Amino acid sequence: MEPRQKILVIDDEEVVLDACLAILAGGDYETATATSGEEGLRLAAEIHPDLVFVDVKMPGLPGLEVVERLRGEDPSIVAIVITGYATVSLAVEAMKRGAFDFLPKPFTPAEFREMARRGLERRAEVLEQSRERSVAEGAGPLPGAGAGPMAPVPCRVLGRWEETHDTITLALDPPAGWKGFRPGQFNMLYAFGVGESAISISGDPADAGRLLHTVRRVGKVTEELARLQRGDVVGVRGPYGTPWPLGYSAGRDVVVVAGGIGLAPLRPAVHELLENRDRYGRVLILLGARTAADLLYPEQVQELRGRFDIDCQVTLDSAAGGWRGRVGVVTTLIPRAEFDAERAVAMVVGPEIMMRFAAAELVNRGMSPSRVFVSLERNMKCGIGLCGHCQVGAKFVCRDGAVLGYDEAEALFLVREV
Amino acid sequence: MPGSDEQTPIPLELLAAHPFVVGMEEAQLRRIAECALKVTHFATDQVIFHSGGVARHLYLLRHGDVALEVVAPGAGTRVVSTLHGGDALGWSWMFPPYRWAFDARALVETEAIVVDGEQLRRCAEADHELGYQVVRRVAREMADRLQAARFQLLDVYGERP
Repeated sequence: MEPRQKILVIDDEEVVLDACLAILAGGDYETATATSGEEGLRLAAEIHPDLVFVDVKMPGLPGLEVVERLRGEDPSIVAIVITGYATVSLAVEAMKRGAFDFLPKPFTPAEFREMARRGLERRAEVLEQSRERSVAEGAGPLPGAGAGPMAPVPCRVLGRWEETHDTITLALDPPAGWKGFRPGQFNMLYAFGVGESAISISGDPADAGRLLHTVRRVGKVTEELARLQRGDVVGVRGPYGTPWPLGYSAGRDVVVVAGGIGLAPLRPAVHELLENRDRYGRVLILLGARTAADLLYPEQVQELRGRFDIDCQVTLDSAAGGWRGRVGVVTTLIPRAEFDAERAVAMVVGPEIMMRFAAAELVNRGMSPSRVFVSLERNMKCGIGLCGHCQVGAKFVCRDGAVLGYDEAEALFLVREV
Repeated sequence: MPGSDEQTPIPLELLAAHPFVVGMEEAQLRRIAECALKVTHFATDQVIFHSGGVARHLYLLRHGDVALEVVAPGAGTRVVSTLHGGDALGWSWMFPPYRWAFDARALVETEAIVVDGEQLRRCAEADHELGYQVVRRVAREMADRLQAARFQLLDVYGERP
């Protein structure tokens, strides 16, 4: 017999807790309540709930912080935030922190029951996907739904939010058979009826419950992908490509250099570096953006800058008078950055010109080009080394890259027609 | 000249530690030290010089951050670039008409060794070996900043990565 699913409700108002318990009474699940975020976290660690309802505004630990911590402990937990101050920006923030959905107060018993049903259904899906992953032999491309390697698997959009004026992030429900990805890999995303585009995976590899892609609107396909809304369906093939050399980087200083949307393919590597901080030497994260408004993931960058165990620097190409940080191109951060050039590993992503200049600065510092890794995403069409669109000599960028050592990539940078 | 000043002579070791003069011979360092006026501290938001003002000094930044700014009527202030501890601020004292091209403002508390540009220019003219060393370093700064400015002009983040 399957154990009953557990629902935890965290709210500082006892009258709300009583109402929730009354609504859930008679359902085939166990229930528990907590009157503060701190108590909720303690209880969650004890009873391992499947679904947690969290009030946003509570004395002490704020609700969104509770959601983040709960999911940090167990990424498969489904969290739904409830609030009497529902705004679009709060909903987006909740989504970014990992909430599955958002329930504005006041709600009817039917609305609360329906939300609980959907949350528990979601939890069952996530656990099932997790079981599939654990029986799989390791990360690898999806089977293409049995219809060949070019067939995309339909995936539902769980959430979508704007990052900057031209960039959005899609949170996708991982497709059936998804076995996870390694930092640096990409998926082919198919906007049905429009076309496919190679989009790097930008989320935390440990977050089993959702697959994040940050998409910049630069053409027909990405325009269409950026228009997707919660509940829409997108085709996914992948993951493809070589990962960042995180194993090789163990025990070495790691220099991450990201320009513009280049932070998206590097973010999974940053998650890995931070989650296993002890494995690496110094960690430097050097970020460049066009303007303050173009800086990707600003809240996360703020957190990175506040950490004592890494050095995160940000520079803008252009700034108005009020900006108190650095102004200048990202390569200007490299000459004085403190790292052991003899052994360090660099991971660089941005526009090609930026990557060339950054790699040249790193080599100037004494780094071997073979330890400077860049991500090339030129002209990729099929993603699996079949069509030849991205072929340069004996190399297929999609199959042999996209992550390559600069010793190999330098020659590819000089090929203008690919 | 704004800034709170320490009027004591500049110790040679203090000057020798600045990246701008690393690699110079001791005699050359001594000549530059003779041109160095003082160590100055600028408060946060203090203006170091204004565009159009007479450029008299070279500032060897020891600590802090400085913004080079330009004010365009109707468009407000734009930060062109920032300089930091270890950078050399200002080369307009080297070439006629000896006027600053931008405003310089301390973004945080900033400390700089102030060198008399006019005197350094005279020393460089009298001693061409010293002059070469100074011009070579200024040219290096210019080359780095020119490259960065060209890179900025490309507006690479506006294109597909």
